[in-house]
Amino acid sequence: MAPRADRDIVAQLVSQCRRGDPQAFEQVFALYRGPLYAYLARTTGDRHEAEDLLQDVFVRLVENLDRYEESGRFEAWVFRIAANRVRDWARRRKHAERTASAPPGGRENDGDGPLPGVLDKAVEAPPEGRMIAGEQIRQLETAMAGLEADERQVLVLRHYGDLSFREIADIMGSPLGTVLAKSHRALLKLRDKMDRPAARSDP
Amino acid sequence: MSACDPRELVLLAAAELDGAARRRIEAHVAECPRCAAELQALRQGLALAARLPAPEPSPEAIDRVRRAALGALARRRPARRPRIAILRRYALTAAAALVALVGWSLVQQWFAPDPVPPGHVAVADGRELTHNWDRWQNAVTDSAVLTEELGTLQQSDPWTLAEIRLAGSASQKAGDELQEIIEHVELIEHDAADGS
Ligand SMILES: [Zn+2]
Repeated sequence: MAPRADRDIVAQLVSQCRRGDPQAFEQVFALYRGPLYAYLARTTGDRHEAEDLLQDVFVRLVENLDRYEESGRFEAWVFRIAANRVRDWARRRKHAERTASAPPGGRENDGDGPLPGVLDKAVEAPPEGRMIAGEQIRQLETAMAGLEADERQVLVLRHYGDLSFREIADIMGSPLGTVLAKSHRALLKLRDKMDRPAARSDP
Repeated sequence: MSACDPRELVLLAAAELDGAARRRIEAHVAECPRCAAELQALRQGLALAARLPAPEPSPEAIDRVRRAALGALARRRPARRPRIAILRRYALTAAAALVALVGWSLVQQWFAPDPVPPGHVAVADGRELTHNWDRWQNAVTDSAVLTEELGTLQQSDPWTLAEIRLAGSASQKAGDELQEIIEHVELIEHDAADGS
């Protein structure tokens, strides 16, 4: 699922996009829309927010193509845009929550949003073959949602973006050691939670 | 024997260590039961994370995002990259280069009207741009041309001089600001190209 597209092909597509080639863009869109959306959906825990952010990311991607430096991987650059959008979104949300909770009858719509990482609507029903794993997946999603935002961020960037820890550190603007420490914690938590089945998966 | 380092274990579990570093940690793990167990747990954690399914956007959302992005693509002005690349190569004379850019577009379109308001983007003619760019390159390398154009610019309107001041100060600034200037120059030049 991760976009391990051939580097030369991506470079070619990027330069065609820079010249405004819509067909090249379609290919870039097809390559990254899935991983980007998955990342956005998991970090926001909200499909609609994720869709809006996805649009924002692609528009910015197109507008800022000239700022992409070929020295780094394109995937890392793309996910950096997405991570920045998520950070802004989180900030806005925090602000909205603060102003909404103070006076009674403020903004009511997003008051008790879904747990970050758990989607409001369940992931589309998987094909029969994967049905058996459904309960486990549900549990896994809950376990992911139970992580600290930063811990979850590292894991989903790695999973959906297929990024190395170094690239993730770069994107998050954190030292590599910090990112590794977070991953260490996150991975052990994830394993421990999945070790104790159903113990805390009740709503 | 090296000390236990949980961060290096993460890198090892994720197969992001190579060569000497990898062999060193592997040797440590072989002799340290605690790290061996931890490495195992980290690998299990990674395997779990990798099982997380990827939610997909709705077809309507895909369509909406595609249309928005294609719209942005159509608004892009082509041939910006080469200019920036070449400007970087001439980084030492960036101010002169920018003045040349402004100056040259003025010389070309002597009676160019007011600058295009920000937000308005003219559709560029690719050949025109390439042609212009060749001329600019020459202008940048030839100081006599620069001087001549600077002389001409002295007699131009205040708005142009403000642009030049901006261009001059941009040379000491970061890439983003430099790009902003270039974009502005492009707008002027597109506007002029429309009028000719
Ligand atoms: Zn050890």
